[in-house]
Amino acid sequence: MTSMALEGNARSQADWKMLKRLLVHVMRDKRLLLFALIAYPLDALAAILPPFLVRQILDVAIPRHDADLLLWFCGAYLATLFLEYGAGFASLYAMGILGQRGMQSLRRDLFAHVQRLPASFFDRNPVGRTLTRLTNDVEAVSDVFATGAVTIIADVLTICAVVGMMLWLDVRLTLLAFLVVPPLVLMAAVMQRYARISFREVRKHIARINAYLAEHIGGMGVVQTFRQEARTAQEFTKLSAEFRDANRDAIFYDAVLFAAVEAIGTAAVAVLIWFGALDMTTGIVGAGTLVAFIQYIRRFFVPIRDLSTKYTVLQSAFASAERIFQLLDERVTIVSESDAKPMEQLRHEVALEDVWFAYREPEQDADWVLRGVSLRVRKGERVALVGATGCGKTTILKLMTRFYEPQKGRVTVDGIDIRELELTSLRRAFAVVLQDVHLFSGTVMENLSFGADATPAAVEAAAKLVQADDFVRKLEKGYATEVAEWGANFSAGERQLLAFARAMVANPQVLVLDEATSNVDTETEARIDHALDVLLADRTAIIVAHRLSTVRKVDRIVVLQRGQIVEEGSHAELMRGDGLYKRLVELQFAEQMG
Amino acid sequence: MSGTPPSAMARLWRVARVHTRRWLWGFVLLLLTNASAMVIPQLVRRAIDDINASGVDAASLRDLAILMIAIAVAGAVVRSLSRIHIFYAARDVEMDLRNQFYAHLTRMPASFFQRHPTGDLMSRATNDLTQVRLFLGPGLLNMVNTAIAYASALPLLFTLSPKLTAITLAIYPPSFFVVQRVSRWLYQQNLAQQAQMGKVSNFVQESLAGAHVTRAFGREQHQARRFEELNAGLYAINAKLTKVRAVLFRLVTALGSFGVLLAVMVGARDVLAGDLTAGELVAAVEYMALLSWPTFALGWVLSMVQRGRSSMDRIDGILREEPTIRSGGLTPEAMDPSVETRALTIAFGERRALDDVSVRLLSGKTLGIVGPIGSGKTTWVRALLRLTEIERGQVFVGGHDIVDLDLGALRRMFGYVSQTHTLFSKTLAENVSFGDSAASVERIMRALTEASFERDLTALPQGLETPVGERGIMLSGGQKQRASIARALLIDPPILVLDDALSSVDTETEQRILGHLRRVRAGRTTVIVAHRVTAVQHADEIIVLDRGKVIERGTHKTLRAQDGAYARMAHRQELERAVEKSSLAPADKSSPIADAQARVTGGAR
Repeated sequence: MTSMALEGNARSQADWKMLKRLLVHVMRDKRLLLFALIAYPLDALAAILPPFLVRQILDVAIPRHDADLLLWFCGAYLATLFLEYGAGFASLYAMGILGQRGMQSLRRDLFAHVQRLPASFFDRNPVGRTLTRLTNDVEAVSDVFATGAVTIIADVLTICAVVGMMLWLDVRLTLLAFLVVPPLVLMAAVMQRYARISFREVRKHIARINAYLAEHIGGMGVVQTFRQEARTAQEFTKLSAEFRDANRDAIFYDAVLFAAVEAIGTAAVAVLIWFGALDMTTGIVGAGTLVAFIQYIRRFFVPIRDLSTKYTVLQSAFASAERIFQLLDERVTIVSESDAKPMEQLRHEVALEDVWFAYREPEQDADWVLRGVSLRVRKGERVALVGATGCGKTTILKLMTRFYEPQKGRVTVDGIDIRELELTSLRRAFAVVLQDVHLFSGTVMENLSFGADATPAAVEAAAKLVQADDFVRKLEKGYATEVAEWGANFSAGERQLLAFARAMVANPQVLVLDEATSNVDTETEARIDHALDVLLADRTAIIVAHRLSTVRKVDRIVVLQRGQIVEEGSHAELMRGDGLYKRLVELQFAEQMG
Repeated sequence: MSGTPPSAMARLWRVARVHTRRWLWGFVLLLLTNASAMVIPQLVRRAIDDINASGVDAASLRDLAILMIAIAVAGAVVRSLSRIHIFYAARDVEMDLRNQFYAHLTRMPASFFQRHPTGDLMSRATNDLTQVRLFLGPGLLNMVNTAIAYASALPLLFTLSPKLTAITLAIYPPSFFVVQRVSRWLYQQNLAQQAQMGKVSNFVQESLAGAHVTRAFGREQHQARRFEELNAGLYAINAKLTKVRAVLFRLVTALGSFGVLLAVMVGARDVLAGDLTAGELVAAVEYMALLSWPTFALGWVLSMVQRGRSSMDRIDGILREEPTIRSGGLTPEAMDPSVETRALTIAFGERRALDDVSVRLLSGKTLGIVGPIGSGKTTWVRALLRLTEIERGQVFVGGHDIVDLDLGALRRMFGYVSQTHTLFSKTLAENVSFGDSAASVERIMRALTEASFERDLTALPQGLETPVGERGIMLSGGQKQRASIARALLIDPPILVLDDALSSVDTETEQRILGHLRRVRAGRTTVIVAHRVTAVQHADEIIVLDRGKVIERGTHKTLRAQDGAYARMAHRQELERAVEKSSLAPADKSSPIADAQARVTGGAR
């Protein structure tokens, strides 16, 4: 056996597994599924009855001059019409709803999963890519239901029913009819193959045009300063022409296919007349059978024609499903162990014990961000981390809240490794206020309470304490004001105060704060300073500090350099020496003066 | 041309008119297609009536069959040709409009792109253009086809049976209004679905970006609940869409079948009464079947026409906008590379980005501009190239008021490196030679060397031919900046403008690049906008901008001596460098990797 065949085998097995996983989502509603399963055969049945009834009218009722029988057949025809419409609608609808519910459940699972993925996943994968999985890829799978590609199985049922009916009516005519049909089906199949290839080309070219357009609209300034307007227009015209040519191929195959479908009925009828004429003259086959056959041949051919479109939809759905499951299979590396204990009241200290950490698998010495850091923060103590950019300050905060795990050493709370603590309870005990304040869409109130069990009054009280209350109240809708995307309707200082309020509402045991460096006006500066006092009162805190006013508030300052602790002590102690801290402070002063 | 702006439809007509021959061929062939389709039921009628009227000979039936096949084949040929011609024409018009659209954009100034974000322009060039093309292709084809089908089938049906004709007219025409309603409903639901999808997408994007906050507060459940609300909303719209689609889909088949039923009910009685032959009834049923698709198609197409028109309006809205920066007529043979702004004032709304800025830069000199973010540095530089709207009498290049100058002639004077350093998704070589696609490899290499890129070149997998990816994503920030500088140096501009172009490189690289520049551009006009004092310290003149005003001017030496903003900035940056240097001191502890390496290679060492 060749490796190709093996690969193909593995691939179809993988497809089958994927289908099973998809079906789990789609088949949640058993009753609706049963409904669809009943409606499909009814639909197929309804599709084969009308031509038969027309034949009965033309070949039985009319020759017999039986008006009553005619009325009966007409009544039956009307009934099948309702059946066809009813069952057809029901099957499409039931399957569509099943599909949409399935997609809803898939989206729910994806979102929940993504939320549990470790921070390192987000370092490796840009937001846009993950977003595409949750939106475009789910949509592509959903298309299977929206475009009716899911009926591909039902189509086979209809085709079988049609052929069965034709054979039952007249075996010889059926065989005659199929003298014409197979070559046409074959031709259609070949055409479809080319059509599919050309559609793929079309998609490739439109993607190129869109990319070119987006890029050059964004870079129009460069195009203009380098006076390349004419040349880029020429390039664009070329892309445009290539796209048009790709479309011409697609149009050609599509038009030929369409015309062939229209011609096929006529050709089949002609053959029937030619060869079947003798039968008809002897009265064995009536005009009605002929009419019925014309309609059956059409009903046979249409699903075959649509097969390739449906196949394409299925293919792209499979490709998307593969990417979706890849994301779902992405391992959640940081989880609570099954025997994890919830974090209780902090009694003594939070500590880092000889911690070595690198963001990626360390290959060279420079990859290490922390190099054997040991740090103890006692209950009620406030510690500031200070150092130049990239010295590892923020990383320490991320390890304490178990956003990342150290390669060597451990992080403990009262001597217990935090890996043994339940994750959510650990993180709720440590409220983190980050440098870049992220606000969510929704009202100010929703942002401040952020899912916590806090009454509006409690939220407002917390906001008041950190002086965020008055500027919120000044807004037209107060706490009900919608936060714009990325919190754009608030100034940097206001966003900072809102983040403090959010942390106040969460009321953490340990405050973990990465101080913002952004420049704010002096009035806001004073407010932030005051808010920080409130926030730090009677609380254990670890702060990455940038402001001189902040380091003066803490009990101990830890100075980091290249992932190591180099100095420790109070502000006064450190200023007495001539270390890195003193130089940093001098710089800070200069910045605040200038 | 008349003075009033032509309407959107008139513009579409002007573009479509170019392809008149194609359109005409398409419609003539469509006529033939319908003619061939109309003959078939007549032949079927003759065959059936012949069979019923006993004493038929097989030979005449055979002839009939051969004729039918011939007509079917001919019909298929003209049908495909008519579709090909009409759809080709629609694609041609689409292409012409798209090209016009891009060419138009190249003439628009920056202010236009601020008013119309990329997403908006893209949507017009893609979604709206598709709607226009659908209106021209399937839309026109089906409209004309329906008209021809009705015009030819109805008289034929009438000669067979006036009664059946009456029935057809009673059912079919009203039904296309029903189809039109349903398809418009479908379209609206589609828009609603897209809007909801947009909300879901925004929420997901924001949640992903803020995942650290959610995590830090342990609020995953809360976010999942909010997502579920949006997700349920999306489901609700999708469920509605599913219903509409199912109705529409089934309506087509039901419509055709219902017509056949009525025809058979009424027709069969006539056959029984002897007023109609069986063959005539079959032919009549066939004619009605021929009309069922055009009837449905018309309803579908009517809503397509509306969408096509409003989309064309949106495209026309862009094409109708005139550029606010128009080229002057003056194209001097040679221009002195000197620059002057006289009391230049530029306001964006209320805010004055530049306030009374007078600067003179003589040929061959270097000007440095420093100042905080938003102080107007970039605005001043962009005014020189007329990338922003300016008044006459404020900016002069080579002694000419730039408003009078041809835009090409003006911009040819400059090599401009902006702070955004936009690269295109082509190869590095293509990006560097963007200003002169005919540049030799030697020239490209020289430009890269002058921009201190040559060392990075060896690290790139395909060297010069490395694709840099969308917006240069394959390159680091510093590499992007240096590639942009090389791009400007390649055209060897009389005036080089570096607009904060060195912010992403370290001080050492900055000094190396500036050193190169001082050599290759000795005696050439240069403008350097920077945050770092080190970047401008060698300039012949330095101006300090603050809130659009010149607050200090002089040389590095004189400014450093004053106790002004420049001196404070210089002092702070010196301290910063000192700290930077001390942080780069080697670590005294060895890392586990070094330990491991020592263990592995221990013997060898």
